[in-house]
Amino acid sequence: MNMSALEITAEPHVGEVVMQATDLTVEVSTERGWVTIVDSVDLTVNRNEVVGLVGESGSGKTLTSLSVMGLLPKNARISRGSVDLMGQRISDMEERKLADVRGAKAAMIFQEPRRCLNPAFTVGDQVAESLRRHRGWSRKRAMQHTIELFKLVEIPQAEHRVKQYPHEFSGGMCQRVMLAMAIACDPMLLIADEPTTALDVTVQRQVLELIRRLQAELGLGVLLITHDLGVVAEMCDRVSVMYAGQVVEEAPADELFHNPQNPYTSALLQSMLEPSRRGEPLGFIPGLVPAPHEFPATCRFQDRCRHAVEETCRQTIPLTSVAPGHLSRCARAAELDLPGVRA
Amino acid sequence: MVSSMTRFIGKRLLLAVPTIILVTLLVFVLMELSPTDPAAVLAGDNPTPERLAEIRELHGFDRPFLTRYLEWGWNALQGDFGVSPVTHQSVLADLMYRLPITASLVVLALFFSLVMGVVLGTVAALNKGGVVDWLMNSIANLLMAIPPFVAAVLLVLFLAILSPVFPATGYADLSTGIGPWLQFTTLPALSLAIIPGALLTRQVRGALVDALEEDYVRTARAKGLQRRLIVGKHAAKNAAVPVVTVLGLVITQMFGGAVVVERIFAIPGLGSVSVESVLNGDLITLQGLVLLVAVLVTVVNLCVDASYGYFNPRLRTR
Repeated sequence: MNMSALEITAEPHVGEVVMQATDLTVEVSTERGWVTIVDSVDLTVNRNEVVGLVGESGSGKTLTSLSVMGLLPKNARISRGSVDLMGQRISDMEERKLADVRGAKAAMIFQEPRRCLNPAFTVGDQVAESLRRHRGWSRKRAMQHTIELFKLVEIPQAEHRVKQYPHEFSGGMCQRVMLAMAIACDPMLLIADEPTTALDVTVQRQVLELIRRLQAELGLGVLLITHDLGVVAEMCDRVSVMYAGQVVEEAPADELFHNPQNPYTSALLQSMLEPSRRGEPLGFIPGLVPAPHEFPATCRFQDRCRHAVEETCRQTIPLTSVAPGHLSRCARAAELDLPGVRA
Repeated sequence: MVSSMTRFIGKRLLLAVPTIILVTLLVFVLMELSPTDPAAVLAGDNPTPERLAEIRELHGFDRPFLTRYLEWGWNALQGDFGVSPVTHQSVLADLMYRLPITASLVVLALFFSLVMGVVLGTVAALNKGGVVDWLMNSIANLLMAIPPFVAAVLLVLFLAILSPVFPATGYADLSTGIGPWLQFTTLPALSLAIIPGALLTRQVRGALVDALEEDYVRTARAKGLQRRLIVGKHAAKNAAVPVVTVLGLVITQMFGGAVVVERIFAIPGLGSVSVESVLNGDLITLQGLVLLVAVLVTVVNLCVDASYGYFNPRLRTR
């Protein structure tokens, strides 16, 4: 009894954790030198789970996701911390080995799917390429499987469509092609960076439902990057909210929406369009996200925060647990009663 | 797809007809205005005025300009370019004998310039902003300032005279074997290839740098593709369009450059013919040559345009 309990607690998530970023810190080269954009981010994605990464533009969410894939641009680098994929340390892996992991164990889809597909090659070729690369399949075999993948992502007339070029596809269909490409080699992690932002509203929903379905069928861990809290509400099991390069709150999605423990999250929720608040003025957050080279060592949100108090907030605020599985970076989290989304 | 391609080529060929007519007409006008009297060329030394008039009548030089042009055009259409008054040979046969010589020279020069442009340009693009990039750019700028006749003289000096690796002048036909042919064509082809190679270096670098910044390159990386596939397949096919455009210009310029280079290396190609026929006042050969070159340029441009459809599928459906 004791022994087995010990074993379980000693290895709580073996086989479960798909991606783990620990103390991840990313710097970007600017004319001011190396500036920290992503600051000590801890992020975990488990199997069979959709984790939302939310924040305004400039909060560092895209750089976070790119560093998880080892796709940082040349002017950016991981200066501290680590990223593990299926227990494998990838943050210090050399490019050649990293390329074996990308597309095989972790895959990524992006905003503006049409720009992400090469206009000079057929979509089928671009999906099959992944299978030929990682599985070593012949052109013919890879193309046959690509047709199956197209059916899986609900592209009608798959046999015919694989031979077409990206310009013959709508934006939503392009994102389906990207998804087919992403799941081609049965990865464990799917990173979706604003996957529906550039799409029509009606198409958005279809693509989100498809991601959800693929996630459930394939048991994927999904990291969904978005600035749209509506998308988060629909899709995510857990949410991390980023502000100015830091995670400021992390919680199960339901709890985050109904019981936010950080003024920034609360303010974001108040700026959401909701049918129940019809007729009331829409909330907004005054001011702008500070520029990365001006990130203060103290609370980074205090200049825009309605609840900021001189003494309390003018210090380095750690990310602390406010409830089981619920973290917040706010000195006043315990004393504030922040409004969330109405039930 | 095939039928749209055929239609495209057919349309382009039709559009080329007025261009060719205009070019030949223009040359006919220029010759009309030139001080060279074709009858005098035929008559030999010190002809009597009666003899000149006789020749004019015999060859129809006294007929109206337009009649002569139309007659020439009609004959040319049937493959009869006339007979050279100087060599007394069929102009078409002469040109067809010389065309492969110049064409093979241009093809070799094209090969040299492409290798240079693709290698230097790719190396520069992959090291964008670095020392290597700067070095490649400097080399290209330097080579850009060396016209074919200077290059030819320098190459002969260093590779034929100071260290006799290649013969200084002369020509061996391809039918005598690749080896001898290369011996005689390497230096002329190199002289022709230098400026185009520098131009292509810049073009390849620019096009590749642009392509490598596209989102689909990030997708290719996210897929785990090896660098050689990302650059050699995904970026290259998109970068090819601007490069091929320059390539078309370069080919036609090479035919121009061949005039000087063939002269220097004593290669009996189209370039030599053009110089000889001008010096001899051989207007009939010259006219045939102009027609041939106009057709060549049209064909090259057509190939360039047709290749766009291959590199950019978006153009096919339009």
